[in-house]
Amino acid sequence: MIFSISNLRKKFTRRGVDFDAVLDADFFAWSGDFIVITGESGCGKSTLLSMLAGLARPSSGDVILDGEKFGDLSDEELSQIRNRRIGYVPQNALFFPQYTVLENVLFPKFLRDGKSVQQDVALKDLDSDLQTLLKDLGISDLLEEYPANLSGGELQKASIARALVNNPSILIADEPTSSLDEKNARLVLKLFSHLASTGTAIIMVTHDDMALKRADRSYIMQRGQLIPREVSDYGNL
Amino acid sequence: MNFKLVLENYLRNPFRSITLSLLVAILASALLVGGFLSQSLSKGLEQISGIQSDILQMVVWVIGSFFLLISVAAIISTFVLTVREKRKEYALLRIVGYTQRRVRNLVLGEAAFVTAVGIALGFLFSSVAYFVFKIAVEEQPGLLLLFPEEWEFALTYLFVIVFLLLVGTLSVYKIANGIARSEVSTILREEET
Repeated sequence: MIFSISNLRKKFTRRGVDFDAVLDADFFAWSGDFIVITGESGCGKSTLLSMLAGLARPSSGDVILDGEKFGDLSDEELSQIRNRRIGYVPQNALFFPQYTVLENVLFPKFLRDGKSVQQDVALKDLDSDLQTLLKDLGISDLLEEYPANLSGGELQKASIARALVNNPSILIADEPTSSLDEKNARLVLKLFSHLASTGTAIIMVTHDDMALKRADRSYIMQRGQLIPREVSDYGNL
Repeated sequence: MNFKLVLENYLRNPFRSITLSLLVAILASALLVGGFLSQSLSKGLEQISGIQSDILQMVVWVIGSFFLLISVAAIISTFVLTVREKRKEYALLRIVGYTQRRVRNLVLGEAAFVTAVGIALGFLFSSVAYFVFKIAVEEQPGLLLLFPEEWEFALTYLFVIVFLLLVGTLSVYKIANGIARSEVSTILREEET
């Protein structure tokens, strides 16, 4: 699997003035890469991740997955890729308030299988890999709760579980450890490292130094530009 | 459109769903009872000749039209506000792989379902109200009211069904399209500010 972006640009208009949230970004990821992107608030990181996940159309440039350009795909095709091949963890955990945590976690799987949300699904009914994932994340006791009853950290872990439920080949995570304490952040990063070792590409935005130490490659975003970290260490290009 | 998901969302948010349906039911009842009363009063006024009758008939229809417009504005604003409240949920559906078309159809389906339940409740309320009213009027001879014919009843019911279904779904059509086509990142960013 190869995932790449080429001259990616995203333009917004704010108060009648155009500005580039992402400017000529180039980047690639192979299966098993663990990539970290850092940068100041408002520099375009979340916008970049949205385009990588196919949730925002670039103003120019392309996102390419195994030779397929997202720009050439229909909304149906792109949505299917998003369901089956890309796991996305948004910055603020989002849940359907009317479903339990387990129903929320399994929602992408129900969609993939063409089923409606199934009630009365228990942990023991799930396949062993998913059971292990939920136990490793420490949320297996919370599955029957509703999202309103969970803390921010618990919701974030459930959000990660939901992104992984269809065994995606790419996991895109926007500050997935921001609501977690050090112990749980380590747990999540350890999980990400394990996933990378089994072939999942991890692309993560974070301010967490622990993640930088685990990454194969890292980038810094400065005013919309994606700069390989080793280069940025030497100042402006 | 996934009808099961529409029904599920309705049943799992009972407070919000039933409140909306009751609003539609009240408006449906008001339209039906208002329609019957207007028809009854007009028929009674037709028995009187002269300019006073014509003026009174015009007043009846103007007041009826005024309440019709108020009901349209109330439904539109309530539905639009409710859909806007659920923008994050619709963004999440896009994240997990829903297509734009599916999100749009879900929004429209939910609006149509709430409206249909409201219409059914409204028919029930208005039938009870009209039954009570009919008994009360029949005991008061000399009142200037003649009850509508059966076909006029049927026509009024049909008009209210079609009118409210159209208003309920069309009121959210534009916003449903907007939400389906919006970039998820934009919705998520709006929710953060």
